[in-house]
Amino acid sequence: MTLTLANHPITEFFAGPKTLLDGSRLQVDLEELRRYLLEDQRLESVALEIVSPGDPCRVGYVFDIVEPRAKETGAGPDFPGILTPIASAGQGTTHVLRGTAVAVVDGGQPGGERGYTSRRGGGAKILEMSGPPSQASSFGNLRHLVVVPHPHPEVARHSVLNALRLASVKASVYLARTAQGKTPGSTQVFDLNGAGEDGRKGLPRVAYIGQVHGHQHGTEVDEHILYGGNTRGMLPVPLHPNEWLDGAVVVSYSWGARGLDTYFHQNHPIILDLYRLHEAKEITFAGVVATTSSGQLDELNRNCMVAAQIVKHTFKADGVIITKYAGGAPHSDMFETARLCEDLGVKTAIMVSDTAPDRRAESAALMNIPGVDAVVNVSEAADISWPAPAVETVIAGNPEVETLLANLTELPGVSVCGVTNNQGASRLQSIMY
Amino acid sequence: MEKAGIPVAQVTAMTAVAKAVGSNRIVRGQGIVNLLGDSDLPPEEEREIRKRIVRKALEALATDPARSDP
Repeated sequence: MTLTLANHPITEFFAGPKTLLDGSRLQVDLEELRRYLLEDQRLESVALEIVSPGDPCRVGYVFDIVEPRAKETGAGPDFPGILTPIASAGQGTTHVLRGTAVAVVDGGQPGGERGYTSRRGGGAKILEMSGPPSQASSFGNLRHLVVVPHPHPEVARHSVLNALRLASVKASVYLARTAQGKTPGSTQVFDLNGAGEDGRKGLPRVAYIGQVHGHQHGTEVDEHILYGGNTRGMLPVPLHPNEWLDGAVVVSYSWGARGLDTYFHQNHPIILDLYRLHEAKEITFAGVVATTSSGQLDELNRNCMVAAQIVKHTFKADGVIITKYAGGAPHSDMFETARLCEDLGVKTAIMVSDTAPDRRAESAALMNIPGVDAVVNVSEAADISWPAPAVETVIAGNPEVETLLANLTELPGVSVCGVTNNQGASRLQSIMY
Repeated sequence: MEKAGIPVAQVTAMTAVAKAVGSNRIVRGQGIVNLLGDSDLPPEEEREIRKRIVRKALEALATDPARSDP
């Protein structure tokens, strides 16, 4: 399975009479895109704005952030199971508009503590385009198409969320189709061919296990997570890493843009790094497993056991990196999986997120299992906050949120998109002094 | 609380965490979301689950941790 990413760096992104890519200048016909998105009958209207790095602009609350990508014509499906029928992701050429993103805003239902009745379990996240918070965010230096879908009031909440998801991938593919047939600035080729070559004898085989959802938060019947499925009742599933990078996985609703974003499934830091080490012949990249954190103990034990077995006996891995879904409970699944892997002789490194605001190491370590001793602690920014930068524009899903965002005085790190990431795409690190 | 002389039975769906922090009496609950019930079951069956778990917790309270049934 070979995936080629055709990277088109974008230096200008603006509205115009026709959607087209001219070199590194991306022009979008917002009216045409709006008509396309409004083909979804659940939506009453859609607001579209383009924001750039440094703009005195605040956007909230963010449902998800997606990198604009589209397959070359005939090369395969875009977001299979969501936008197109089921087919394998991860093969052929995918055009990528580097330096841009689609940020989808969830209007929620007006009311509630933050001017918004939140989606299930989700934190209210803000995209900040200027000042120190934007510099601390992985998204502050991107040009965003901000999509604000307004559903008809009678549409059920789960269906609203489904409509937001659909709008996110439709807008992503719509933009990136401008690159079809165009010569990219650079290409990256991903394949694991040669993983069995003699030249790789003696190299450690390293796998990755990632939680793509947490069942403690529940799952909507029409929620898209893995190939369009909602992962209810799912056992750990071995994937080719290319599938993960190429649209098979999107973030689930609960914690969209809260330490997990579809953008960093598409640009998964651990998968990309394992590929880099594979190509440098420092390791052999043995494979990836998608799993979930469980809501019940039997499910937890079953999933952890199966994931460890796949890594040991299917991938024949010597080592595995494990990351978690957002929240506290997913730590137990991750630790138990690591314990079982270590028992099977597979070395583990796991990534926990420090949720303790009191800056104490004792609070940060949620679990302690003997033998699971390679623990990377990425911060959840619980103890970081900035004075809110002055803004001229606020883009929000409803007037209450707009007022609230306009009058913020402090921006806690946990509320800013791209400051923390459970897959390691973060510029923060927990350090004990 | 145990140090203050009050026996504790911890009902949890995350027993590994309870073990890691050294809880003396760990009773397994139904699930993280519905600890003492099961929203997939009819109410009368769910009530039976609740009674079973609470009774188990009461039994645990009356048990000396040194002589418990793991």
